[in-house]
Amino acid sequence: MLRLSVVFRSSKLFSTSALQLAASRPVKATAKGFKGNVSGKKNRKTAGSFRFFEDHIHYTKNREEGTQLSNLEFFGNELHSNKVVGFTEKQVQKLVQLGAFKKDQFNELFKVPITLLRNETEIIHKFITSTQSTPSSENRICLLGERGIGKTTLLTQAQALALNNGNTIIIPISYALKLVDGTNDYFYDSKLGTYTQPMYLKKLLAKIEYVNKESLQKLSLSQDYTIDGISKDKASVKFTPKHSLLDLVKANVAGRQRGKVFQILINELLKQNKSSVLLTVDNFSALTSNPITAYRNIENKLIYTEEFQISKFIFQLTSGEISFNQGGVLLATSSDDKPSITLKHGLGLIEADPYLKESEFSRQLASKLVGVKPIEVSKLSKENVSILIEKYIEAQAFNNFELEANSKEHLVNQKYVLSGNGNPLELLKSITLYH
Amino acid sequence: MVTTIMGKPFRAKELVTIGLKSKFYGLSEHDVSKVCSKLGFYPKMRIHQLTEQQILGITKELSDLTIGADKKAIIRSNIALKRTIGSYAGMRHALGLPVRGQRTKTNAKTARRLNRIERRGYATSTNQYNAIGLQESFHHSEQGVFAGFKNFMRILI
Repeated sequence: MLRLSVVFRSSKLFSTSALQLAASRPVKATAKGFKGNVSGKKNRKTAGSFRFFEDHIHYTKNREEGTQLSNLEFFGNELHSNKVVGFTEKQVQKLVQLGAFKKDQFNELFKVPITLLRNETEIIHKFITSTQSTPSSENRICLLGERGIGKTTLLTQAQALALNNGNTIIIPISYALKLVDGTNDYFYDSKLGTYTQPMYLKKLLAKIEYVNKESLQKLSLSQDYTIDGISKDKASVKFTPKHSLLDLVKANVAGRQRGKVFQILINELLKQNKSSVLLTVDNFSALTSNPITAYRNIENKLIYTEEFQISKFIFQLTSGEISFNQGGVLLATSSDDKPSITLKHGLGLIEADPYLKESEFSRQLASKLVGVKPIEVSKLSKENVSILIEKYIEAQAFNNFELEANSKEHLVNQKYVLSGNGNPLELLKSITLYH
Repeated sequence: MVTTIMGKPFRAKELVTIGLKSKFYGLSEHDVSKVCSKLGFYPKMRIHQLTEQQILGITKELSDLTIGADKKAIIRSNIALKRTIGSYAGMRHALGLPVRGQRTKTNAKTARRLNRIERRGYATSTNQYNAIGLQESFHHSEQGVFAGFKNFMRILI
């Protein structure tokens, strides 16, 4: 038997090798005409330079291929709840610069990003109206809620409303985690007495310049300022009351002087009363979840959140220690961060255990949040879901077989349950990722 | 793009902290953290972001530390000392067996592979041995299954 199997195997091998030899015979070359591509470079379709699909979708111009919804009203001052509206071209340009649109929001489904006006939109509208006339210490709110409930979307709506006003200066911190996670350079500025982050400040100042160009142009400096050059050879930059705040923000100064520019900007904004100032912080919970940052000082000791210039500025505003004459502070938490007792204790929602460790609960940071009004973002109603589903059907986000098998009413009921009784992100996922 | 620091090549995209830790023998995470903090590097800084002055700074800081061949020589001399004074740990090293009470009925494979007269696991050089004044017989350790036993017998003789 053994011999037989050996013989059988060997004969099989022999036959396959013969086939392989036959296949490897040289094939006669055929003439091919030249059709374009004269340079000889291969035109390969690649997945792009992004590692993940969601980055590719977010940063490339896929939005132009999205659906243009018919009869879509634009986001203006008429805010009736339970209505889907789109942002105008001008709003989109500025909101993109503000970092308002995030990767997991499925905005690429539509040519124009859409948003649902809900009950909380009216609260936000009242807040923005209030920032026009009252000091920022009286307008401090923090949006809370579960993952995907729409905190960032409400923040975007607030920013869009502020942009509509035309007389509001927005200071956007679009992702507060970047301030503490060690991704930006830092150094101790002995003149300011804080750590400054030149790379982050460069982006922030560029955002402030782009978004608030008209408002900053109107405001002139109150006194003379001199910003030192990078070295003895380079001349220092001088500012006089003839210069506007836009000139200050646009000034080409050395990286190590950006902290001073930002400080002058804030001091000037605190003094003036022509424009209202809105500070928006998304992912605010990143600052409160751990009072210790990823950075270390020269002696390799821990640096606390409040020792950084921008973080300190945020907490000064949230505590009311400094206040704009007209303005407000709008914070939005994120469920990406570790749930922190500091935040909830500071907002007065829970009482912290006095024996907690410093890494778990920072009494100092919590004390800076006293007076901030928490707003719990509620889930969507069935009417809200119904309105959104209409738009997603129009955008062809649904599978055809899903539409054929169900009536609209049945679909709404089904998706309402699947979305965990009205979580917008879960709703979107249940529609777009159901394939 | 490759950057060279103290003769070691680093990829441009590599994190400074991870690169330094992985390339230099005997440099701990804490050491790297201390060096980077002292020079003002932020935690997520990458190799291509280093200026020439910063590279010189790293070189200066690392040259003050005992790393690489020097660190290995110290470890070797420590093992040699344990054997010369006839301690149990020294004997276990010579026998090619675990030193710290691990079982030998099974496993102990790492010890069998590495624990020799000249401990394997890193390169050795005769010059370093002469420098620390070790006997000539240590240079030529036995190889093979009974290498540990043979070596031990050589010491006794």
